[in-house]
Amino acid sequence: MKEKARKIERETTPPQEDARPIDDPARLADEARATVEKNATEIRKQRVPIATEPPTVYRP
Amino acid sequence: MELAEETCDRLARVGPRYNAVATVMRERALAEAKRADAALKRRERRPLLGIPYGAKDLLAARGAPTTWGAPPYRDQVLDVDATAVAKLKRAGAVLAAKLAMVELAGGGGYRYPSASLQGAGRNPWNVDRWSGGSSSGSAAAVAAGLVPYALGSETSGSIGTPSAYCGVTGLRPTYGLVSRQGAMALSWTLDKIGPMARSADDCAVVLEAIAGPDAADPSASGRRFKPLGARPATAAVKRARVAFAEEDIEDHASPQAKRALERGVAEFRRIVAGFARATLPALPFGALVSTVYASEGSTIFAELIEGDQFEELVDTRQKAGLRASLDIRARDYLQAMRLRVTVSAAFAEIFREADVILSVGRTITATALTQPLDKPGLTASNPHQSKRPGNTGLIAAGNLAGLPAIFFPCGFGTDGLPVGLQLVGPPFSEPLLVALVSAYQRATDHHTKRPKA
Repeated sequence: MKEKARKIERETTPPQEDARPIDDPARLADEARATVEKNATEIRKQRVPIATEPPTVYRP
Repeated sequence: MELAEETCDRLARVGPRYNAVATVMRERALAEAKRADAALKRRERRPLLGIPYGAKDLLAARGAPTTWGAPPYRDQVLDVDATAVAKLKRAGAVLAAKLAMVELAGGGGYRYPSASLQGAGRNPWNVDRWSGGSSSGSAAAVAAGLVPYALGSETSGSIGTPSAYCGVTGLRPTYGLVSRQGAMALSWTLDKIGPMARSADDCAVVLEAIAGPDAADPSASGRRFKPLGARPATAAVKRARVAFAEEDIEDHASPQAKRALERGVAEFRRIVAGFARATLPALPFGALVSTVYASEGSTIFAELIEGDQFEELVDTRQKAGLRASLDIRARDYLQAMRLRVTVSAAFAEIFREADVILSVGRTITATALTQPLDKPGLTASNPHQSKRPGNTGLIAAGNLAGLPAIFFPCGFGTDGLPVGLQLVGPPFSEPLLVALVSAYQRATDHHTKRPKA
């Protein structure tokens, strides 16, 4: 029961605001890495059907 | 000679007001003007003969440092002319200045307009607002009347944003139409060099001079640009079909920009009757384009990033972004490149039914110099997720597909700052884009408005 309550609490607690100043280099480094990962996640979500895909990546 | 002297004087006197100038090139300008005078005496008549201009400081030019807007390169001297600069020289143009830019064209993702060796680009319409980036000085110098035209460059938005913010006309050519030899590379597969001027017709004159083959740039298409003659242009405008999504303005325009953008579209509808609704598919254009240029840019600048001078860059967020980009996985870069084929196919689908896509240049007017640029809602390529996306990802998408675009002013927001529209067409459709905006500019006077000196 206690464990379940703790779990619910964890799920409903909003992510903690970063307390560091917005221009703090360490915070910016973390955010930049997070952006790279977020972009990667978005890109990987896009499915390309390989059976009909043109036989090359983009060529400008 | 007088024109060159007066231009250099004004650039030196007024340019610093907007942080628009990297170097005034008086010696070179006077030498080129002297040659132009001699040609004029021989009754040579070429449209750019003796006309001064400025070039974004990302382009190499003999007679001045090429700083790429970045402190680590403040003393870099490249004793060559970029092909675009050399072609303008052959056309008789007079290079009067290197113009300020965001450091390294902003490839790491900068937070503040101050991210430049020359300081924050100030907007001639209100010096407490940003001129846009990364071709900050090119747009500000044209808007302020310091030069009649300038060269800028775009990887994703660097001609479009400053053109919209400063109320000038900017033309982003099809990838490969203009040689990039002698230009700083941020992204081999995205970078384009293009003109920024007062009107579409002026952009066309410059584009005609700088487009074309170049053995020194393997990515150059070899194609040339020639504007349509008067009669074919009129016919093309008459039969043009325009794709437009009303939510670009309804859902996304700021309260300051909304009315002027709506009026601009209404004016455009009077020029071209054939409007139809069309929208790009929901693809993560922002994530795609930034993955591509961040991967390529961080690889290009890897030595700098891992060297002693890296800390000299101005913008802390940009530095963090460049460092993190070195770790983008090959898998994600290749997936992004692969999806560019999908983006191109989506455009091809739209261009089966329409000749061009009309959208806003930017949904907002120029931001305050102190405002962080990464606040949600300010990035051109990441429309607010809860709203209908429409074609607000057009800048990122158009660049991913290597498509040409023309940005043109359509009035002023309630805060007195310019707003503008953009047209995007299929590859090498620049003649049609110019014809359409030229027709719009003959029927309106937004592009003739000037800020108070």
